[in-house]
Amino acid sequence: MDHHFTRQQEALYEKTRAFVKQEIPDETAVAIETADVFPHNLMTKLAEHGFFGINVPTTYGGQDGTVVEEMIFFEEISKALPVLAWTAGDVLLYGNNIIKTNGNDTQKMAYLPRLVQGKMLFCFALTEPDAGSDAASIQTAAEPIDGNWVINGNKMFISGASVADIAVTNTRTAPSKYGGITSFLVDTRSQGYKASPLKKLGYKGSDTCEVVYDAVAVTEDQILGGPECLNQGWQQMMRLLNGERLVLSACALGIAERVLSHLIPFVRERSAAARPAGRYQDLEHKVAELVTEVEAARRLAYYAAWMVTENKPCVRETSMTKYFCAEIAKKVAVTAMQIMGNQAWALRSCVQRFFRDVPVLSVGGGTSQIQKNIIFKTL
Amino acid sequence: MEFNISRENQMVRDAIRDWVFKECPRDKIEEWDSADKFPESLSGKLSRLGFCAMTVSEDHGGEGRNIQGACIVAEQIAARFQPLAKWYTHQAFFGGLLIEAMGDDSQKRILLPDCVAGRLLVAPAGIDDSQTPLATFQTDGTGPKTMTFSLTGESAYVTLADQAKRLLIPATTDMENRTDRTTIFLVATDRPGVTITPVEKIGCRGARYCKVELDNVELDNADILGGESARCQGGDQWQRILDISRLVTAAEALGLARGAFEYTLDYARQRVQFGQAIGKFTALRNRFSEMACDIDAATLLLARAAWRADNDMAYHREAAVARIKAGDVALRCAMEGLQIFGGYGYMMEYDIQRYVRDAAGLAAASDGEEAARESIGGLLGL
Repeated sequence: MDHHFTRQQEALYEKTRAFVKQEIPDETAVAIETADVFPHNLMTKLAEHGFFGINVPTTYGGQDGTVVEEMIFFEEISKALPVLAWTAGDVLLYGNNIIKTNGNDTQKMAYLPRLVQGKMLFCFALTEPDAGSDAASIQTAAEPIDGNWVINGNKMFISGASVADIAVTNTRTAPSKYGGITSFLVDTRSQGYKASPLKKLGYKGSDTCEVVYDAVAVTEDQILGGPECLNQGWQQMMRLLNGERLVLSACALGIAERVLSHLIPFVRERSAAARPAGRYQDLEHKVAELVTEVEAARRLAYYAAWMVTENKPCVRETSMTKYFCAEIAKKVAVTAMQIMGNQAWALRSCVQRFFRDVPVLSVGGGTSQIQKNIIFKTL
Repeated sequence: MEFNISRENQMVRDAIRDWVFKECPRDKIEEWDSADKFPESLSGKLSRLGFCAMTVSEDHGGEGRNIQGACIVAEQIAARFQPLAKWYTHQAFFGGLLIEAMGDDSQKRILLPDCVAGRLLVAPAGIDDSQTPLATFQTDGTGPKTMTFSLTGESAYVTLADQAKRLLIPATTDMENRTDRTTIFLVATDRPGVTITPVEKIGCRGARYCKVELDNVELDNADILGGESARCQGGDQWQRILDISRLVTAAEALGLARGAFEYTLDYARQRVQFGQAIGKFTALRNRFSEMACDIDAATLLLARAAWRADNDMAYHREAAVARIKAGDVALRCAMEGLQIFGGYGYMMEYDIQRYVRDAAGLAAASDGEEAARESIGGLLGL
């Protein structure tokens, strides 16, 4: 058994920490959150530091890291500015991983080097107003007309949709629920594509949009993986789910750690000043429970990551991880709000910012309820 | 035992519910919440309807004390728009109820007519942060003969101080060796030396909490809650103030719980996934059942505390129990609601995120949930 990171992973950890310290002081994070605009500047800096190549093969200019590298990066960024982890996900997950896993050679050549250099942004368009947890019930239609395809429909909660260059758009191309979905690489400059950002509780700056496709024309070469991948969208997506769950789990761990870094000194100071001594033992125990649960969540997450890197079947483990990390992080944030009271409720508090960010992690990427459905099915 | 609410209070409940729905449309609430702005026109209307008179006896110009009814009013308003409920409780409870119970004749004569009319908001300081010790304010009073006091100190989070006419301030008046060295002052907010600075927060926006600073504020016996004879009786008074404060926190929390629950239930009946309304899935249906159990429990606990208060029985334990339960239930219903709403819950366009932000402040409301637990522990002899 070896619980250590490799030297390459250690180096990435240190490099990410240094980046966060240098580039994301609290004032920067608060400014982005307050303005609710996409963090283009920080995205450029992430590219300049080479972070967008961590999961790309060296052939395309990357460093060929695994899901473990992704998790290290996402956790450290989430400790400072969770939304930057998400916007980076528009490159690392919905660009790099989608293309390297499901793209054909032409698509890999066309997109991966530019993604690594920070010259392109992707977004992933699956969810629709009436297709959330029941994702395969999507209705956005792609219809063949004169050898090409025309897309009509609505997508919902698509992060990065108004700033992305390519929207990976999942469409209905045949009646079969799972076997009739095709994924298109839609150029967002296409006529008929319109994305409108939504206002939300947290993760401000993510450019999460409602998207309308009004007769958007695409060619068969824009099918993810090429024309032969018609109706294979669902299977293509399934190949990415383990990684996505683990990365979202890493975001949750980052948020939990950050909140604990405020909660622990708060309770320690309160306890030290308490009369009679021991008055806040109950709060100390609550914190002890939380750190234990976060540690357990972390172990589960990295165990599942190890299974992914070993190519072992691990749908159960990644689902467990996604469910557990998201719920524990939420519990940490809620408990901190309760214990820290008015101090945390004030707008100037860091804790409330993470408290508003965290609840979406038990929703996006498959809700906790859906993860539990999957877990039970695998037993 | 009688578990039905009285006909009178049923009418109160229906009237206030209809009024709040009419006067607080969701687009307006969104506007006030976003701007952190209190709708002053609404508080005027609410006063004219007579609800602020429900906590004061007819002898003092009220409509006869009906604490259960007033709790129902607070709950129903909070179910829709908590900041207005806060305004109401600071008028009717910390104003009318408290001054009639603890004020001296002169204070009752001068202040109660304004309380009844909804024109005298009282904000208790040193209560909103469980960390703030009881005696925040020191005095260097110049001795028993002159009986003047000079208050200096600060309290970090005083709800609605910016709208208050009077602050309730517990101070240590330690010029004599008494067992109770605390005196509670009713300090007019326009006194020289009083500085009130609002602090922005994420929930219950519009009803702001404020930093209150007192710099040598000169007071005399007439400013003591209950007058001269109540000097150095603050410990006992403070306990009764805490009881009132826990009671109203329970009422507001119950309102938030009920509001979040009903709003989510409505959504779960309509939202269809996998071919059926999501509320029909057992995993969600049972969450609603549990929330319903919790809300019922909190409702009964609050009714018991308010009933005891109406009947001049001690309700120290009952208020603490109701406050803890209702606070927990509200946060739980809001968080469950947020999860059940899925992606839509996260959108500012939907109300559930506001319930979450509002409920997140409940643990600290009144003197804090921890303090209420300590009180119960103390009453259990532990």
